[in-house]
Amino acid sequence: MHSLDHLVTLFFWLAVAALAFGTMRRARLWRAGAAAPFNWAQLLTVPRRYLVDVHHVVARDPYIARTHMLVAGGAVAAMALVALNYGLMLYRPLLNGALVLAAAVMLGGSYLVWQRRRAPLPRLSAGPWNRLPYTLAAFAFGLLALALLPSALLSGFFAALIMLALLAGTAELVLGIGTGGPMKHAVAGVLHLAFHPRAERFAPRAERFAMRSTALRPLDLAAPVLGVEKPTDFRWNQLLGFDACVQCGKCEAACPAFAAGQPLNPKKFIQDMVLGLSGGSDAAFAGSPYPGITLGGHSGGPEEPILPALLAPETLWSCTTCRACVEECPMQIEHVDAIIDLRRFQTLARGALPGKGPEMLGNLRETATQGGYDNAARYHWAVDLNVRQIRPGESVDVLLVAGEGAFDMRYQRSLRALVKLLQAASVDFAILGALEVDTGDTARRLGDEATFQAQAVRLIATLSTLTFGRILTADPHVFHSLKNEYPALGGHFTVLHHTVFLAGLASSGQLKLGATSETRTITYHDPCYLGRYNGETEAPRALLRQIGVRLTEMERSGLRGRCCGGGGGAPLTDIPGTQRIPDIRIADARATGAGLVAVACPGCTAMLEGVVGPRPEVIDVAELLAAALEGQA
Amino acid sequence: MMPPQLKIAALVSVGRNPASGAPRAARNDVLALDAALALAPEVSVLHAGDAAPALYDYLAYGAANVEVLPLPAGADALAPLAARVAGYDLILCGQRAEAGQGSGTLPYRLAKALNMPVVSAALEITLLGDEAEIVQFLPKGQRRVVRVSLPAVIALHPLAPRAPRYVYASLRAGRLLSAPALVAAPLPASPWQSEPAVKKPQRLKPLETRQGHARLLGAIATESKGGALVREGSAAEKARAILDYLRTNRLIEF
Amino acid sequence: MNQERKRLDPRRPFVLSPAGLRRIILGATGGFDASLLAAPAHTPAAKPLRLKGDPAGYLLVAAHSQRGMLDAHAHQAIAAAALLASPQQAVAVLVFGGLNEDLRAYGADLVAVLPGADEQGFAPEQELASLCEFVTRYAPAHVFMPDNDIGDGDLGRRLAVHLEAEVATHVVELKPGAVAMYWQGGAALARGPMPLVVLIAPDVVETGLPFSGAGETVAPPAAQAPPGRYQNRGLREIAASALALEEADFIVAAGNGVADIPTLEAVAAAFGAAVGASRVAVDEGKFTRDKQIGATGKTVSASTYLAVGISGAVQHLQGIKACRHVIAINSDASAPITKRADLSVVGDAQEVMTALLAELAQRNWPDTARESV
Repeated sequence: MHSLDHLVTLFFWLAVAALAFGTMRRARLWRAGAAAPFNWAQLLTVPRRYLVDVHHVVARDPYIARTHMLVAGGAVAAMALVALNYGLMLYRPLLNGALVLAAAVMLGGSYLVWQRRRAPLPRLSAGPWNRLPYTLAAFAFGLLALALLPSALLSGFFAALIMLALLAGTAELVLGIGTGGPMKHAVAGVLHLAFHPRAERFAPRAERFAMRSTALRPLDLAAPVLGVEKPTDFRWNQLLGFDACVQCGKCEAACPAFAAGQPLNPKKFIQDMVLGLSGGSDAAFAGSPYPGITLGGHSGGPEEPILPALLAPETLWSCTTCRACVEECPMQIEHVDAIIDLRRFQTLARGALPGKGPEMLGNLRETATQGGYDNAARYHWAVDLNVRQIRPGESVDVLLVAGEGAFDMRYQRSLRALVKLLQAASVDFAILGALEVDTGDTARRLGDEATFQAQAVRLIATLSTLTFGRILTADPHVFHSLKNEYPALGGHFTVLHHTVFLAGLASSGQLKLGATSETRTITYHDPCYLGRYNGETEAPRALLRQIGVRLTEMERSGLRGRCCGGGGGAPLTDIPGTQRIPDIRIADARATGAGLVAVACPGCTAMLEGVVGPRPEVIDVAELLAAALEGQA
Repeated sequence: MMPPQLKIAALVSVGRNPASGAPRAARNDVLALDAALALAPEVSVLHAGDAAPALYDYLAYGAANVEVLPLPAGADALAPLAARVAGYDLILCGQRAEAGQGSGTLPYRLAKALNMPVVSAALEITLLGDEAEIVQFLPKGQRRVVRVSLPAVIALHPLAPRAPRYVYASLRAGRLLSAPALVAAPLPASPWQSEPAVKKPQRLKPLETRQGHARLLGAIATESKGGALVREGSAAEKARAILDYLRTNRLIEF
Repeated sequence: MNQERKRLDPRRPFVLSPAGLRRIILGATGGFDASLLAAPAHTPAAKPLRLKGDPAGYLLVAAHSQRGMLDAHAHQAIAAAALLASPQQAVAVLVFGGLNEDLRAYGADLVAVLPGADEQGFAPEQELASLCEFVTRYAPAHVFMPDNDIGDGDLGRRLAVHLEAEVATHVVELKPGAVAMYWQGGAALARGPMPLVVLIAPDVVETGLPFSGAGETVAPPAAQAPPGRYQNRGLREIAASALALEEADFIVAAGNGVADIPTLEAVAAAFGAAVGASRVAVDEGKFTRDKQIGATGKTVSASTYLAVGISGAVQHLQGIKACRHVIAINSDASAPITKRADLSVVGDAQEVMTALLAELAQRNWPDTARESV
């Protein structure tokens, strides 16, 4: 009975047509976005990006890595075989044998998916995603039966049953993209990997380590729309990226604002952006809502302003830009870039910045400090330290840039410890002194690109009149903006964070460290802008090891460390939650039994020290080292 | 509601950041501009002086443009401003300038020159036909409601409950306009000598009549003020200690 | 009164020595001589009269009273005039509003009261006419007024502009014949000769004077201005608890050491104070976010800050930097707030608050009672 085979062939081509039609339909939505570079050849990068970069993230959860390998691998192989055997009308039994294998693998994977969803983690989305194990299994089962049983043996009823299962499974696979179903992620995900807005993220490992592609794109301040007001203001490949989301909720589990009960959930945020590009209400969202905001109250469309109809302002301003969501996302979606794009419009075109944000921006414009201080007082902590101040025409190896922490009496202790270490190691260094102006980093995170660029241009102009080898800073935010974000504005400097620089001095023997007298249990808190933004997790740990500290790591550390709550201007916008992010982080530290948290950032120091009640002491790595300097009493 | 032909002007000056001395939009004048924009979509924003870069801040705060009335150095801004706003129904400004002398007398002089009533310490302004109703600031949570007939000069209090927004896009869209020079009278020669404020001003007090030892005791007594710690005693005694402190320092009236 | 019994008359005639001591005039009997009495009879140590003989000129002070009292700022303006006056110059004071206090201690020689014109009223044209008449009557060398928000700053500027006279505002330093005031928002100090109208900033004059004014009551000005362009529509009072913290002069703030919010609010109400809170208390949901004081909350500048159960995290102390008097009630004597506070009471917050309320209930007599004192 050849008729069933022919039917499958017909069916196959119909499915291909449906997939193509659906993809084109969806592509029309993406293409409504703003222009971005496009090159078909990018599609060739997909296998490598998928097998290396996506796998790297997915493999952190071995169960789902195996599951996806079986389901997706089986499905792709099976579909390729169907295309070959039925699509090209070969009808070879041998190929059917291979098809049996592929379908069996997929069926096994579907079982694992089913297992996973029997008692789903709270971060997973329900709704249409819950039917996935059944439709995938139906597809696999249909193929298995088709390939295994000689069609002659099939009764009409059984053939119809097989066709029905195949139909259900195929519908899930090919209609998803056109209708926005769960399997949309397969097509959008592949295209997203190919046309990813941050191609540098997929650079070879060595390069990627040197530059983690975390810098924000400069905004053209003459552009007609400043930032993103409505979904179509996103670049088309950003819209495509939103569609790649699989709603796995890894971002939700990692988000510090979500954990603190602030009205942000990165997964819901991406799904809201999907709603924006396709139109509709969030009533059908089947995952965790934004804490404190009920579902169904927000809706949007491609040409509708995103705030406040689709997204509440509190959601936008809850983000600490810690990039934990981006780090966790298997689909390599760029949540933080989207947040910043939206903030840019709100700040630059609406001035709608909550809390103390506007005050800080005014301070920056008027005093070049965030706190509205007298800029000439920035280095008052160093007056008695006999430190050289850099002058045009005099060259120095290391230029110390203190940042806003210089005005904080607490962080001045860390800076003084750093100076002591530099002096002990006979480093040729100078401070920037009253010439220093704020890098504008916080302004940029709050979307005020105009103020950021003004500060950057000013600082670059100052630095370009000076002769120095390297810039050293104890502030990871200064470090990140000078190192990664100033190049796009013409400022090219060698920038080092103090932990990296000191680790170099210590390993070369220039800095002679003894053993610490500290007997408490010590844990280390990774600043987001040092760890996740710049990949530097080892230097501070190496330094602590060097003075004899045996670190007890917190549950979330290194590249996956939890934010202190101080990033992205969040302490200024100060969106209320059910608890505070630094309280959660201190609880992490307490759970290790630590009596001391080593830090490497003035922001983290301030946030963690702001926790009231008994808590581990918060001390900068530089202070611990200075206390362990060799040859001191 | 307000008749559409109502002409409203906001007078703005160049302010000064207290920490850095950097020129900026004067906070009090920004409140006046914001209050004016809440009353009418079209507001003449006027500045007597140079076309200083700090005026761009007013564009960011919502002025469609800022009209700069040129003023020779050392000239009195009163005459050109009075000539320019003659015929206006409402003239708003900040109560006290951040830069220059900041005496807060300009609204009064302008009102006298234009023969208009002047109300200062305005927190909120409502237009009622040819009258304006003003909620005036009084200390300790008191407010006074005052009505004046238009035209009038109204000076905004620094605590006016307004939340002006700094919008870069609006700065980008606005313009500084140069008005033709008007006749300005030179200011009379100033008897004032200004110096950087480094020394604390001296309090006016009676001539010291006490003799050496008493003076010394007095000096010691004043230096050891503050930081008292009450540990012992009953709760009532502690409460009395607080009340005594408040009374001694005249912080309460009972 | 029992006149039979022979006893010492405490009001025997006396003169005051230059050191302020009473010298009884021996042999003299009978009632006291008003011309010799320098200080109110009930003040413990009478002070000498500043003014010697008939005045040869005048200095003028004008200020608004509130509930029958001039505030400390107005007292300072009077004291400034008295300290700057020559021995022959009299200090004439014009009070807008009723007056139930003695201004001699601040050096007032002549006092005129316009009972109907206190801070309740707003009649700038009428007040200006009265003040102008007073100025005409005494032809003062200078007119001193407190530069405040209760009407004197406004009236002083109206006077100067009306008379087209020189004026110095927010005067922070007074010397014979010279004043100084801040320019450039505080960056420059401008010195110059003392103009006719001198509007004085608060707390630049000491009011503890070694002498006394004559305190003679004179007729208030009778000038009537034509009906004006200003209509007073009355006062509105914002409840202290609802007052914006930035504006409050007295703040009672709660930290996590306070469990009983109603008691704290009662303490605040008794002081007429606004209620604030620390970050922790706000996070616990005891207060709304606009009550939060500190680096991420509000920066306040109250004269009096009563911190109840607040340990005083750095962020909180940043928010109260500008407060003049900080009083702390805390169970922990080593809490950072005790280093900042001018007075720290170590004890259970609840007990001290309850005791405070009890004390206030005992001693807090109503305004009407005070006026009859």
